[in-house]
Parts: sequence; C-alpha cells; structure tokens
Amino acid sequence: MSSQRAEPTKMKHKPQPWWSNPRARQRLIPFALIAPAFLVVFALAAYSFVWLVYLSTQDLTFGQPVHEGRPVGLANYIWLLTNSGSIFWISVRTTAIHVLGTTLPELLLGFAIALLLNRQMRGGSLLTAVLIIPIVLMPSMVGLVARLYFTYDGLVNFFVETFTGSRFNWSGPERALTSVILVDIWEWTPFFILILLAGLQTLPREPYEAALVDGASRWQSFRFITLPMMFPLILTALVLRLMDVLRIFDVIYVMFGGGPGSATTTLPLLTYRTTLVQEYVGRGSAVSIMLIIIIVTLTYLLIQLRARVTHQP
Amino acid sequence: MLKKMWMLGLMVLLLAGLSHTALAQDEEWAAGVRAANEGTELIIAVASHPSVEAFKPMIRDFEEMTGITVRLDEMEEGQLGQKLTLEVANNVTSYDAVMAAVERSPKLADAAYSEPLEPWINDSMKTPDWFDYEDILSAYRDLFLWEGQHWAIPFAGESVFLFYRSDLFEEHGISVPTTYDELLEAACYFHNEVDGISGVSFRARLGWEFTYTWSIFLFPFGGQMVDPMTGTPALDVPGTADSLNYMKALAECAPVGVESYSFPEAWDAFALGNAAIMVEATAAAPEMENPEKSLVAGNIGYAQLPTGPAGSFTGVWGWGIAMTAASENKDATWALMTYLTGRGTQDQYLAGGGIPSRASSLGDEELQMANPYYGATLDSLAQAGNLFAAGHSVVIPIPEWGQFSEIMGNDGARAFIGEISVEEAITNMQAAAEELLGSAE
Repeated sequence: MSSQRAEPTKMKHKPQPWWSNPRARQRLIPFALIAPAFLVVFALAAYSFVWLVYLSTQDLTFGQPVHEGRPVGLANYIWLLTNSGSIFWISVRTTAIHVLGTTLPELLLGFAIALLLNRQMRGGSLLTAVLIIPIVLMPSMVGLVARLYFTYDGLVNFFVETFTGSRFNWSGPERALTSVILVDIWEWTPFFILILLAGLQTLPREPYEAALVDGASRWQSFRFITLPMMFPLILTALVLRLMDVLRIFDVIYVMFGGGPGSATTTLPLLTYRTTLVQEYVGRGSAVSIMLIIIIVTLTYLLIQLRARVTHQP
Repeated sequence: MLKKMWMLGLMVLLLAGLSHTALAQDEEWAAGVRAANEGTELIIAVASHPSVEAFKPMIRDFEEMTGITVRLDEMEEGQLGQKLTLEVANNVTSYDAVMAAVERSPKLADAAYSEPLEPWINDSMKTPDWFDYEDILSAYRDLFLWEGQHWAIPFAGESVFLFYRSDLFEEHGISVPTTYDELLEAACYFHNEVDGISGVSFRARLGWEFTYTWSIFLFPFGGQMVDPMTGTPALDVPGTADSLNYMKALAECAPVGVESYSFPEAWDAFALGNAAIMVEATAAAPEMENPEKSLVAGNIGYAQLPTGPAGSFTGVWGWGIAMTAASENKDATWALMTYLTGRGTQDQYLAGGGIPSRASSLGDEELQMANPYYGATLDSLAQAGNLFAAGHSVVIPIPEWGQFSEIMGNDGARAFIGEISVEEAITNMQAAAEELLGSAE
C-alpha cells in the first residue's frame, strides 16, 4: 500500500524537459522570432568589422589581391597618429566642429519650431509636411545645388550683400566648413522638428493643469514639466542624428571634396580619400576603425545618460 | 575665265570620284564587318564627355551599316575610374572596350586588363585605309605607349594654353604675355584696375585637379616630379617650390574662391566675362567659342603658355578607347574603334562637337579659319614636345600615377591656401612619393 502511495510522489519530482513547460515556451517565442534577423545582421556586422580590423593591420594597395598584403601590426595606426604627413588629427578636429556645429543648432532650432507648431496654429500641418522636403531630397543633389549657391556670385551672397553690404568667400578655407554646416542645418533641422513635435503631442495635459492651478508661469511649465519629460526623447534624437552626422559624406564631397586644403576633410572624407583615391587600404581601414570607435563611444555615453535620466525617481 | 571654269569642273569631278571611291571602300569594309559580326552586341564603358556626344550619332550609323549593336554604359568620369579600378582588382570585365584616360592607361595595361593594339593596327585586313593611324598626332598616340606598345586609340587629346580676352587686352593696350612675369603682371593689372574683372582663372581644387594645374607651372620654373634619369621621386628641387610660390602669387589676382575651383567653375568664370585670362585645357575652347554657352565668344585670343626661367613647356593629356583583353568580340570591337576614331569619319565627329586629335583636322586651313584655337593648339603641342625632349611628362607613365598625383594634389593644395608652408608640403610630398616609388638611394 505504502509503495503504491510512494510512486506518484516520485513521478511528481521527475525533472521535466524545459520545452514541455508552456510558460517557458511562451517566453522563448519572441527570441525565436527575432533570431534569424539578429543572426544575419550580427553575422554581417561582425564579419565586416573583423575583416576591417584585419585589413587595418595590412600594407595593402587598392586593387592588390588581399593575400598579397603584408602584415604590419599597428603600423598604420601609428602612422596616422604620429606621421607629419598625416592629417588625421586635423580631420578629427574638423569632424568635431562639424558635429557640434550641426547637431546643437539643429536641436535648438528644431525644438523651438516644434514648440511653435505644437500650438495648434492655422496651417500647422501643411507647414509640417513642407518641412519634410529637405530630408527627402537626394544628398548629392543638395550638394550640387549648394555648391552653386555658395559661390562668390551665388544666391547666399546675394542675400548677405543685401543685408550687410558685403560678400564672403564661402568656398574659401575660412568658411567652407561653415557652408557645409549651414547646408546640414537646413537639411536636417526638420528631423528634430518631426521627432520632437511627435513627442510634444503625446505629453499628458494633467501636469500642466496642476501647474497652472499652482500659479506656474509659462517658462516654469516649460522648464520643470516639458523639458524633463522630453529629455529622453531629445537624447534619442541626438543619438540618431549623431550617428548619422558622423558618417556624412555625399554633401561635403560634392561641395568641396574635402578641400580647400583640408578644410572640410571630415573622417568619412579622410577614409574615402585614403582608401579609394590614395589607394592605401590598410590606412583607410585604420581610419574607419577609429571612426567606428568614436561613434560607438559617443553613442554609448548618450545611451547611458538617457538611461540615467529615464530611471531617475 | 574658261580655263578657270574648266579647272573648277575638273576638281569637282576629281573630288566626286575620290568621295565615290572612299564611299565604295566604306561600303566594302562595312559589308565585311557585317558578314563576320552581324548580331554581335558590344558594351562600352564611357565617361560623360563632348566627344562621347559626338560618338552617339556615329554609333547609330555604325549599327545600321554593320548589324552590330552597341550599348554605352555612360557614367561620370570619377565613377568610371573607380569602376575600372574595381574591375582590375577583381580581375573581371563587363565591357568589350572602355574609355581610358591617359592617367589610368598604364594601370589597365599593367594588369593585362586592356589589349595591346599593335597586332590590330598593323593588320591591313582588319584596319581600313581610311583609319590612318599615323594621322593621329604622335604626342597623343604616345600618351598610351606603355612598355613599347600602344594600349588605346586616342580620340580627344588636350593640352593647356592661354585664353585671353582680346577685346580687353586691346582696349587697355596690354600685350599677350610671353613670360610668366608678364602673365602675373597682366593678370594683376586687370584684377586691380578693371571693375568686375578678375585677373586669371584656373582650376585648383584639392586632389588631381590641383596637380593638373600645378604640373603646367612646375616645369617652366625648373621643378620636377621624378628624376628623368632614374625615375625616382625628385620633387625636392628649388624649382618645385618656386612654381608653387608662383601659383600662390597668381591666386592673389584670381577670382575669389579659386582654391575650390574645379574645371566647370574655372570655365564659367571666363565664359561669363568675369576673368581676363584663363590657363586651361584646349578642350575648353569649343565651349568658350559657343555663343549659347559663352558671353565672350568671338572676343577670345589663344596663345601658347609663357616661358619660365627654365624653359617653355606645357603638357598633353587625353582620352582613348582601349579594347579589353577579355572581350569575346574583339573583331567587332576593333571595327567600332576604327569607325569612331578614323580619319574617314572625322568630319562627322568634329561636326558633332568632338575634340580633335588628328594632324589633318588641326592643320586644315578651313577648319583653322572656323576654329580660331586650332593654330594655338598646334603651337602648344610643339611646346609639349619640349617637355618630352627634356625627359619629363605631366603624367608619369606608371601604374601608381593616381597615387602620385594625389600626393602632389593634397599637400600642394594645402600649401596653396597657406595651411602649411611650401617647404613643409614639399618635404611631405617627397617622403610620401619615396614611400610609394622608392628613393634614389
């Protein structure tokens, strides 16, 4: 009798395979669904990155079979960082000015316009649609047109002369980067407008009503309600824009090709010139690796900041 | 009077007889090509260029005559260069023939991507008499000479000469510069004394375009790229710095923004009447004389480049058609190449806006009357001969020329705008060129 009783107890404790548990299966379904896409993307990205690292340690000319490359260790990196003929550090500085000069004004301008458009003004939706136009234009065409506008006798100087009485050399070494930055601001400010406007339209009304009851001014509502609630979205938009602006190539290439001198040679331009024009594949790959490190580091820092802000009590 | 009319009638008959013979030869040649190649499709890679526009109606005629179909894969010049580099790197080709710039030809030949053309040129069965290879100017033919063989048939040769506003020069009593000091003086006179006019226009954009212009000033000042005896880099001679300093001085009397000028901006500055002088490619002349594109057409004088302290030099560049070694339709491809570049079809080519490269065209008195720059083009070719005689060339015939040109064009452009000193630029260039080609030691 006792043995008859013991048996079911024994069966109860027998370990079950994990897939027989419906709850475990349920939890696995999302992973299983995204696994193929993840594997393909990861394999492609990982393969490319590993291959790029390998190439950056080779002395290889463009067009030469890869197996004929000569391993040189870190020599390409050392050359870029220390050789007097290298313009890597100049390019880093140019890239930093370009990134700061574009993203910050675009953010401020985009936020200001988004706040205006959020005020239920007449024709607001039409204006929003019009604002998308610069983003959908082909960048190389934007570059070509901008190249004409920024000549000494071009449209930009026509307006500048009308208001200031003098003209500037927008394609000279002092202002070429400014020209590129102005074109980027014109083209990409709508990106911030669209994202931030969408964010503003989803903010809850209650905090504003409570603030109004408490006698808060418009500035105080903006400073203590709108800004904190929008901050995670602002950082997300910044991350996306930052990743994009660090790899911008076409507009700069068409407008100035990196020149005059090295005035507009940002890191993507330096990668192109080193790899495809000067045909030093190893050095060009090393520039790419350093650009990737910069992008990943900045993105990581911004994401960390976003996480910290989001989880604040 | 009667005698004159009789002579005239005889000449008309003679010309009619000759053209009939040529026509019959043409038909005979076309029938032969059709019999062997009808139904063949050729794919040709070309860059956007005035001569390619001239080729298009000729290709339609060729297709009708021979039954061969020709498909042009047309792209921008830089894209074509990169496409060919990729094809060479991967050891594949999608084309039967490609339009090859002189700068790229040694690389294509070195990789056995293109086909040496001597066996075709010398085969009287495959090459009609009216092709007349020897009529192509030797300065252009030899641009495509590599290790003793020719690798492309030139069709659009160019040199660099002076374009000047003859009306302005006359009005201000300035004579055409014959030395580089006079050129600087004249450019600065117009720049400083005439409202709304800049002195001199030229291309100086970072990279190969800077090298293009610099190579014009380099040799007259005693500069050099490589030692003509050893072929090793020799940029660090005093003349190289002198030529760069001269360019910097000239830029003071050039349009604002010249440091970013590619050839279209340089041409526009002159064509719109904003510059008194232009140092540019002879290939720009047809556009400058076209009243639809140029406000100064009819008021332009042409002259060979001035003489510098080390002599009187200019360079030659050009485009040619190269047959790919992997083409499976070589006979048909050669037939097309001879048709497009032959002497017998030059009239149609020139009428379509093609750039001349044949002695018979440039030396023709009627054509010289109609095209005022033909005479100066021939003079500048003689000037280019001086450079060959001195053992130099504006394009070194080596597979690494693209890289060498970039080395000069990058550091040269940086010194040109004052980002680095001329001495520093030349030190950098010499080191980079030695790394590329090896040093003399």
